[in-house]
Amino acid sequence: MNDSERFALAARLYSALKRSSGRVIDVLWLLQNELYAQEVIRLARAADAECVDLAARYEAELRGVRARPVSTPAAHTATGAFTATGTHYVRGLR
Amino acid sequence: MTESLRVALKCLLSLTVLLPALCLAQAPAAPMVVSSAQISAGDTAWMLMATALVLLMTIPGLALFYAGMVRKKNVLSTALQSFAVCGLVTVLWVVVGYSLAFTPGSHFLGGFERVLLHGMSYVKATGSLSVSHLAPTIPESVFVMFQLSFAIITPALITGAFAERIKFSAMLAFTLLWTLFVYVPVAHWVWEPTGWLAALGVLDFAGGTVVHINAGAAGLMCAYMLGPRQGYGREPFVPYNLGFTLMGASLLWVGWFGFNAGSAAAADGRAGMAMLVTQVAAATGSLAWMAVERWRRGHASLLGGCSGAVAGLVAITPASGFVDVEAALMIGTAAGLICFWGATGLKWAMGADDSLDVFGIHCLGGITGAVLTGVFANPDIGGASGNLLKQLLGAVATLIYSASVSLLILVALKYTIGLRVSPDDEQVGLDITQHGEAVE
Repeated sequence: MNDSERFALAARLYSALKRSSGRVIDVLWLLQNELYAQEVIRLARAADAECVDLAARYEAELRGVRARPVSTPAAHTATGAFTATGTHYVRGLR
Repeated sequence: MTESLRVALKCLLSLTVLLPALCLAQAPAAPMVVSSAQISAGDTAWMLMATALVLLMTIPGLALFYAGMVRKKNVLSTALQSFAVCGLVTVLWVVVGYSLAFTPGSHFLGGFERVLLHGMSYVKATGSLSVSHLAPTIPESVFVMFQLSFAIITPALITGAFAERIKFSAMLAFTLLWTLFVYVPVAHWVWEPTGWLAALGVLDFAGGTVVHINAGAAGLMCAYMLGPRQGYGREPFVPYNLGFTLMGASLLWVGWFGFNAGSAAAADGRAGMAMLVTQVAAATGSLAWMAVERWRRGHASLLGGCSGAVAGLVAITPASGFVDVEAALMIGTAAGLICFWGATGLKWAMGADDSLDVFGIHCLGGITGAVLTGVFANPDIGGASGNLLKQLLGAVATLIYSASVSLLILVALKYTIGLRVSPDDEQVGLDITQHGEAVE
């Protein structure tokens, strides 16, 4: 799962939790902090079926992240792609 | 120089003499009821088609064009803004907007005779129906719809300036007030014969002034009032999907035939000329932008090609019923070059985070087109010669009015319902925080 897909999953978890229990979570912190993510997963498991399903998917993703080598900005730079787009869109689109 | 002074004096004299005369004069024309025999089937068929084309420019054209350029977390909210504007302006237009814009009144605003479209009629039994004095060969219902599609796209264009940070409620409130207090009066000034710019002889065939300068000036005020997005100028705001932007730009290009050729309000030779010069200006605008991009940056980009085409389309809009192909070649090229500067060098110099370059492309492109209409207008095509000073007056008056009233509206909203989402919400993205949805 790439960063965009992980963000999308976290966003769905945000929406589902808000809808089912009115609870608002911090999506960015969820993506960055594993302890917070585990707490969110615990909360989601106590909510409706959609939340339970999303929590399971997010937990599986967390396990996958732990198993993978850490990806750094430098690694992105090595591919060239991040640098090319990164500098391009800093002061505007055009 | 002497000639320029003479024309300037004539303009001023026209203003001082004509405006009081307009106040005293009887309304020259108004919507009226006619027999269905007066209606042209050809004109009506074309205007129905043109209306659908212009609506297609906003939904889905502009929605896709803009949604492709924002970050993934704001794609849905950006697209929804165009869609919501469509609904809101439609209601406003039939309630009061059309009446205030397109019925005779003062030289600044129309009357109330078509509030809730009362008086607009179609009676099958007697074979009678109402027509607008501005388009007497098509049913008034078609004219109302055609003009509505312009009223929709104008505030929808502005949404590009405050993308990724405005509250949805503030966007709706701004659209409502701006349409009523800015778009409607300016449309009346320029397109209704009693409007003061129309009476002066300012040429704006399809909305270079009413739509593009108007929207661009308002967009700049929005960008200043809302402030820059978090991280603007420090981190890359990578567009979600430029494929969407290409699809949107293509829909805009095709839809623009309805916008410009439809503004002839007839299926005739002038509409044909308008369509031809529209195509030519879009093409040259796109090529010019890509050429300057290649020269300055070493590559021609897809976004550049799309942006240049839109710049050319914007600039040919006021000129389309007045100029020939040679003029279109020059207008498109000029727009491509000027708008490239507007969306890069000028934008950075002004320091406003106009997210999707509404000012740089629409306002500058609109001014370019308005001015060059004064240079290139051919009486053989549109029956009118251009006058550079009058065109400048129209452009500057619209720019100042739109910027001032937009600023007032924004200040009022800022201190009542608030304009901007919270920093946390902005960071998470408007899709989730404003609408509870996200792109996967």
